Parts: sequence; C-alpha cells; structure tokens
Amino acid sequence: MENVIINSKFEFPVLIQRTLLCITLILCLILSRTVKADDTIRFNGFISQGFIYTDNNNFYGDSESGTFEFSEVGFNVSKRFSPKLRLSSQIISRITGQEVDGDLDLDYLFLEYKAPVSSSSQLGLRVGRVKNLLGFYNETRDVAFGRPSIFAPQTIYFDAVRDFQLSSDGFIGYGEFRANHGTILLEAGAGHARTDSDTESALLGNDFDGNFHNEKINQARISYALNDQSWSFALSSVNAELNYRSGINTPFSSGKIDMDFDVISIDYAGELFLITSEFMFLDMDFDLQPLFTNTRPSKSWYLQVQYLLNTNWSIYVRNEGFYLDKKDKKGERFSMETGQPNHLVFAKHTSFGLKWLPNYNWMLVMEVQDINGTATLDRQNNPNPFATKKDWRLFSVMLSYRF
Amino acid sequence: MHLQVWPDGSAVTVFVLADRNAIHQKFTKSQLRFFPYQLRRSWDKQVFSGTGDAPIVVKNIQQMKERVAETVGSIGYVPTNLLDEQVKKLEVE
Repeated sequence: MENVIINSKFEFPVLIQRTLLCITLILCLILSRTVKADDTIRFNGFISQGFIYTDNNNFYGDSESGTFEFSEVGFNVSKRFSPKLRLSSQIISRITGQEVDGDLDLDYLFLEYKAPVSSSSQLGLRVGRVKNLLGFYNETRDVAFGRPSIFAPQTIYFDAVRDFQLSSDGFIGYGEFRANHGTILLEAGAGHARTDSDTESALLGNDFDGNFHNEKINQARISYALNDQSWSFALSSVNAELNYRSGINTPFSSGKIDMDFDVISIDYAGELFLITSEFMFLDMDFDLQPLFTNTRPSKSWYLQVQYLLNTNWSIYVRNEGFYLDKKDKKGERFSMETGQPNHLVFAKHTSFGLKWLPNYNWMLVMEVQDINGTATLDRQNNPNPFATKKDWRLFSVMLSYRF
Repeated sequence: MHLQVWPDGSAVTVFVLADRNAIHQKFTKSQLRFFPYQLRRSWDKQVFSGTGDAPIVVKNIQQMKERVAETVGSIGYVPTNLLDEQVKKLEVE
C-alpha cells in the first residue's frame, strides 16, 4: 500500500519547487554581486541539472523512460568576523526522483575559531551543524564541482542514509601541523546524528511507527598531504549509536543500531593523471529484538583514474564495489534466508566519463556505468525486489553552473 | 598556502588571476610548484565546506597591483618587469 502512495506523486509540485529554487538562486546571485565590495563576506552557489537513463531498474526516478529528476541547488555564505573567527552556512536542495523532494536542507551552519599556535601549526574548533569526517568527498559530495564524477561514488557515499552521513549537530576540534615534507591534519568531534524516516527505511526496510532518539555520533580523521599536494592520505572513522524507541505497532522492542564507518583514502594528483581510491569497512550491529539482531560487516571500495586531456577536457574511468555482507559476497545465504534475489546485496560498477570545463563557471559531464548487482538502488524507486534486474546500465549527463 | 593569518594576527588576503590566465599558470607552476587545477580543487573544497575562502580573482595585472596596494596584509604576483613602486616585492624562501 505504501508504494502506491509514494508512486502517486505527480510532477507539478516539483516544477513549482524547481522554479522557486531558481528564483531563490537568482536572488542570491544578485545579492552576492551587490555586496562583493566587502571581502569579509563571501557568497557562493551552484545549480546542476542532470538527465538519467537506465536500461533496467529505476535510479533517481523513472529512469527507464529517461528522467530529468536530478536537480541540485545550493547556496553558501561565509562571514569572517576576524582572522580567527568565521561563520559559515550552506543550504542545499535536491530533487532526485521520488527519493528527495526538493526541500531546503541545512547542510552546515557553524562557527569556527582557529588560531596559529606557532609558525607551523594551528588549532581550531567548529561548533554547530558540522560536516562529518568521512573520506575525501563527504564535505562536498552534493556539489557537482566538489566530487569526482556525476555521482559521488555510490558504494561509499550512500544515498539511502544521506542525511545521516552528511552532517551532524555538535563540534569538531582540529590541529594542523606543518612538517618538512607535508601537512598533518588531525580532526575529532562528537554530536548528535541526523536521522529521519528515510534513514529508518534504509536501515530497517520500512518506516515503522517508532522513532530514533538519542542518536550519538563520534568521529575522527587523520590526513596527511605532501607539500606539493601530489599525494594525500586519510583515515577516517565515524561511529554512530542510534537508539530506537518502538511504537505500538512496531514488531520489535526498543533497542539500538551501532554503525561504524572506517574509510581509508588515497589520492594522487599529477600533471596529467588524478588517481583516487577509497576503501570503506562498515559494521552494523542491530539490537532490536527479536526482528533485527544481526551483525553486518560490509565492505566497499572504488578506484578512479582521471586523465587530463587539456585544460578543458578530461576523461575518467572508475571501478567500484559494495558487499553488504563481506562473508556472503554472492548473496547466496541472504537469498536462502529471505527468499529474495541474491543481487540485492552486492553492486559492482564500472564507469566511464567525459568532463568538460569550458571556464570557471560551467561544467558538463557525461557518464556511462555498467553495473552488476542492485545494492546501490533505493527501495522507493524499486518497490518490488523481484522486478529488479541484476545487470543494468546507467547513462547520465549533468550540466552545472556555479558562482 | 594554508596560512590565513600573519604572525601579527592580521588577515592574509590573497589576490590571483583567473585559473586560465597564462601568468597565473606560470606562477603556480614555477613558483608554487602546483598545477593550477590542484589549487582550484583545494579552494573549491574550502569554499563548499565552509572552512575557508578562495583567493580573490582580479581581472589583470593592473588591477592586481591596485588591489594589493590598497589592501593591508595582502599578497599577489606580478611579472618582474612590470614591478613598480606601487607594491613591495616579497622574497620567497
């Protein structure tokens, strides 16, 4: 029944939302032009429109018929009160099929204080809604200019638990130390994780009548980059404890879900090649008796190589994979236990892309993905798992503008 | 490129020419030993994560000299043959 309600959404409100967002962005653009005289306040923004076609399965909407339901708009402001104190905020709105409805979303809003402690080191603190310390791209994954391809690698930057991965309400303290050959950055923080009904659907397969409460998050990242920025390395760890309070009709008792994201990131940026690779080990422990009591050790990775043809054009190829349960890579046990198709628990993507950056403001990217497995598909767009196909292709184009 | 505060506590303001400008490309490659896209990538990350500002882009060398001259604690670059008394030369170690 739930699926029928979701699918009955008609397109008109999306059009209105899109128009309103465009008007807002144009107003922001005008605003940013008029107050540019003051260097202590900066406005930046972006707008992206994508097109997606898949030969099987639905991605970000009815992509089997081709969909334009892939729009992103964002605007940020950063005010420097003094060299040490800054206030930054970004609002993002996304329309991706039936998954995200184009609401304005507060991506971050924090006060940052940083001060040098010597000529080669500084300490800082961010308080408010802060971006989570996950891999290289989490901080800018919703900005087309801040990710390596049309989609941030799906196998690590999940769409299903987006809000939860994106940012949290709390603090992050950091120290930056410059050594002979490079810079070490240590960051650590804690706070309140963001969850909503989408998080619940993604983790529990349904939006039950209970809710998450007391969602704690602890995180840390250590990064090292060589002075010439050719090589960068990072180890990040995000740990979340989501406590769940059952409702009257919830078929399990109150309990909690523990999630541990550990990411290893490596990046090489040379004159002609950019090579990026990340590995993620995700442990999920469910303690919601008697329905969810399992432990799930997931594993995912990607390796992307981008070749710069010239200043304007580049091509890239990426291989990525995700196993929901690394002890059941082919999903045989999953299929036996649940009776559902085995391909729901793994996904292997091979992507080829062409990127065109004619100037600072514009970017056009075209990408083809060949995919084996359906673990990166969302349930809302593919309500019947038996109707999904194991092998599918995804073609996408995205045009982005920024200021 | 990480320094945002001078030792006396005042702000560092950086002026650059556009990414595609030949002087910018030459300066970043020969003096900073970066590829221009690396700088842009790192500035984009700062700007869209709210953790820093990108340098201010000026239109040409004349504007570069004017802005550096009128802004306290600012730095930029100009070809040696176009240096005049408007701005001070900084020795890079």
